[in-house]
Amino acid sequence: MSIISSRGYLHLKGIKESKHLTSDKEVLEISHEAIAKIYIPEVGPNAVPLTLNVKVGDEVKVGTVIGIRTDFNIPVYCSVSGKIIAEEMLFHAVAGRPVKHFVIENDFKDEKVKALEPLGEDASAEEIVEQIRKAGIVGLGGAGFPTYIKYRGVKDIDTVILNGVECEPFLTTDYKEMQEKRELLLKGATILGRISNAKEVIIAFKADKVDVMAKLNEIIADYPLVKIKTVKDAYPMGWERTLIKELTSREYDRLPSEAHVIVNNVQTTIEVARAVLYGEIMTHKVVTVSGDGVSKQSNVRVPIGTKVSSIVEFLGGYTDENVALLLGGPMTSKGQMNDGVVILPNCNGITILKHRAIKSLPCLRCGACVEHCPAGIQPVEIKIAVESKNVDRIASLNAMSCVECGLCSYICPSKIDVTEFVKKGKLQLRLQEQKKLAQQKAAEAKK
Amino acid sequence: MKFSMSPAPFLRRKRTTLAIMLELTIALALVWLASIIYYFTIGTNHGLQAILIGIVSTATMMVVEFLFYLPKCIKDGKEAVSKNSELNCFKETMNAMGYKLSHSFGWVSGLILALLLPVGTPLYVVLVSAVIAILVGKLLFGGFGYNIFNPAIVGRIFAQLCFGTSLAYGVEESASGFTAFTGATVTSQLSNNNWMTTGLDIDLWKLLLGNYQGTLGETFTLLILVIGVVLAIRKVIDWKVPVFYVGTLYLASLISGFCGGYGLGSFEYALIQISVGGIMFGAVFCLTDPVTNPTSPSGKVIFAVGAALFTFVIRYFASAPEGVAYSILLMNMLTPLIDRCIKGFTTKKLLPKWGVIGGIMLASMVLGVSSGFVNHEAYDVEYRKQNEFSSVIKKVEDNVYHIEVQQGEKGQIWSKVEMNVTLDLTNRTVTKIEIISYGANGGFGDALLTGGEIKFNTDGDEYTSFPKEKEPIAMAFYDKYIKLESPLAFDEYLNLYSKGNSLSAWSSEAKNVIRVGATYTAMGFIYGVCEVINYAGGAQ
Repeated sequence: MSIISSRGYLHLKGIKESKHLTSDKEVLEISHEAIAKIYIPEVGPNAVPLTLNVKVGDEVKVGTVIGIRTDFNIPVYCSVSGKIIAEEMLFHAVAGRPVKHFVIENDFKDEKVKALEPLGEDASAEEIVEQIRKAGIVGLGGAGFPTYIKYRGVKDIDTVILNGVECEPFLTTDYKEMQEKRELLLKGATILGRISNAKEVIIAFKADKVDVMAKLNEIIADYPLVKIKTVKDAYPMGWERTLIKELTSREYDRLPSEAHVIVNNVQTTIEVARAVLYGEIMTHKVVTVSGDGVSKQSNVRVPIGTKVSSIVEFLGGYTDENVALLLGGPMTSKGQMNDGVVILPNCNGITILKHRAIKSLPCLRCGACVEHCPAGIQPVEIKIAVESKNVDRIASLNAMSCVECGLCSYICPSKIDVTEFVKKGKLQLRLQEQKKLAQQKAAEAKK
Repeated sequence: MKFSMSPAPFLRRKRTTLAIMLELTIALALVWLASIIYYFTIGTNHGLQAILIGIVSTATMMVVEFLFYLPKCIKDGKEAVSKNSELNCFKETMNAMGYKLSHSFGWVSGLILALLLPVGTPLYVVLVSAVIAILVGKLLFGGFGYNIFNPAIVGRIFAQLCFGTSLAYGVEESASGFTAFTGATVTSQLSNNNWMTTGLDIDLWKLLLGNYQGTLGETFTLLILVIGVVLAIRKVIDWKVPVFYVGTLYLASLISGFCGGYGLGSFEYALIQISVGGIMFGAVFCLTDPVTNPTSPSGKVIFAVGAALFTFVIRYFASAPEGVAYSILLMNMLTPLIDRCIKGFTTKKLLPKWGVIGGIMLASMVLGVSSGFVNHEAYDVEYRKQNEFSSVIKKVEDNVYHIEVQQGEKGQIWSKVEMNVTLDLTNRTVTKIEIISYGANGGFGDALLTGGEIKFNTDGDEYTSFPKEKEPIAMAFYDKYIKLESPLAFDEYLNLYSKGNSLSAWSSEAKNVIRVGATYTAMGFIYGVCEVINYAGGAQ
């Protein structure tokens, strides 16, 4: 960091208070009536279609394969036992449009089919990676990227970073799970370190999480490969690029592997340990339900496929007639159009905030967005270029590097939706790219 | 149930542009207050004038904004009524106007303009400048956030160009009490003196505290510095801009001082240079106006060092003592260009960026070197011309010499000393000095040479009494070099004079003598004694 470049992060005021809403409370088990019906989308977590294995009327058990993702060849499992009674169009959080969901009537018998066999101590790296694929594990930090891809044919990796930073306000699931399942976490860490041939595995979280630190330190001596490192309480410290730079001082162009690093979420690691050591698949998920728009804030353990509306009802409903319902933290998540969406594996929380009207002023040109942009680009200049429809300028400002973390909109004193402008800029760039391709094709066709 | 679909993020920082502007307003008000208090200590009418300038400037800007936005707000008001007929059109219009005015921040420009004007500015000049500032400087460009130039600076330069002669800088005592005069300010004195501090009665502490006359706000250097630090910590202004601006100027002045022969005094010399002429005020309140700044951190630093370069050029090589305002406007103009040139990642290509910044700083320093030599030389030549001594020496008896010293040129005699000097060549001391006659034009020099006794000058008029008790330093000079209760070594005189190969160096050494306005007389006297020592062969 130099005084003439971007700082790249910012401590969010009030983030501790927002986390305290749920961090000290017990994780609640969801009531039976809230999960009487479970909804499994007929698309994968990133909204690509599934090759379906079941149909309406089928009996399903915990571990029944609902379908296989068409993009990455990984299965999607059923999280409860019961019967598929219907198909219903429900809004999908990632797709941003209604998609077909299987409606499963929960019989609460919790009958299981053994989806996987546990692997022995001497399992090879290839076997473990295959087990991770079979378990259908995706990145639980939010992106939902299949985990096995990162370790398939891995080479030249010296560090695995396990991300428990959880830099979004309100969310505390990583914090809860890291304490609850510390042994699984450390075992999973060792497994990931082994299959990637890394010299060390770093579990990273914020410096203020002293209780996590204490709990992990009690048993870490048994896991020589694993180290604990803390980072500043700043946003977006949990973003791969920022985290790698903070922990290893390395930078990279496109993928973390260029910096010889793999980054995984801590909960993903826990799932890896469960799958590899016990042959268990992921059926439940702890979600943080927080914000001033919900009556009771708490972490709740729910089966995957639980409707958001029933979780909110379970916690006493909304506090206002007009709220913003977000799947995830308030910095990056977009507002959901209704509460009929369901919980997916990569959903860490539900943030519900009372509606606040934001009135924006003309840009003060203070440069706060430039000074804090974690991607090191100039949001305000991109905004100006978007307004003047100068696509070349948008490209020269590296708009594509934006990760849409929302920090520029957050910090803007004039309350301008800077991030939205940058998103528009990215869209314009994509359109131009498509236009060029189309023209090229047309030119080739002429020839 | 309604779900809000506004874009992420759903959390926003509490701080608003309005809050930032209000903090800035408080800071400006503090400077204004200091200025009002200072001018009240000079005279009630000047205190009132300081208040009035602020009020007229601010009110004018607000009124112009009101009129400018009136049609739009009436339209908004009517629109609101057409949607909901229960509303009162006038009330809606006023609501719209209230929002518009409170978020256009005209009063900030108003206060800055007021603080940039001297106390003797006629109120109609304040009014016209304020209209030009807000209308041409801001509203015609599209209002807050869209202006290219700093509105207050536009108004200030307009006032300077169109009403320059009626901008009365200072106030002085006269028979009818205090009146404003358009005389020399510290900056114009310095400018006339080739920016060399030598020979001027400049007290650094006075400059820092603002206990002198300039424009309303610019003089309170120390106060502005403290406020600037607070504003920078509170992130109201970006610390980089004033720090790099003032820093570059300080370094360049320091080098200029070294090349001008100030030695270690250069540090103080450079401090004086950055304490005058509104550099601090400009750095903290005008240069930092974010609307007219580049947006990227590196752009801001380039902007600041560029402004420093322009200030230096205008101040030392052009004829405008207040170079700060022009340099700010020039850099404002270059802001879009700077923004345009900074592409890609702010985190990459840092070396070329530092290169540009360093290059501009280096250019300032090269200018510092040349200005140091050029100004110093010009200064020396000028004083030597005024400083031509001639003397006639006669040996009266053993070890007693009679000398007549005249100083002046082209038939004008500025000072004259006739005396008998008694030397002790074996001990290399001057044992007795007997002043026979002195004086030419009735300066303080006469009194200096005689220890402050009331004497008659050559025209026979009674010389106004020399306030003995008020000038202990002048008396010390008399006691040491003229009265001679015990013999004084040759070297005392020779050393004092050897520095006087250039009067500038000599008088900076014996600067306290200047306080009584007896430079030439004292110089002539020392010159005379040294001539005698030389004549008698005592120089070695």
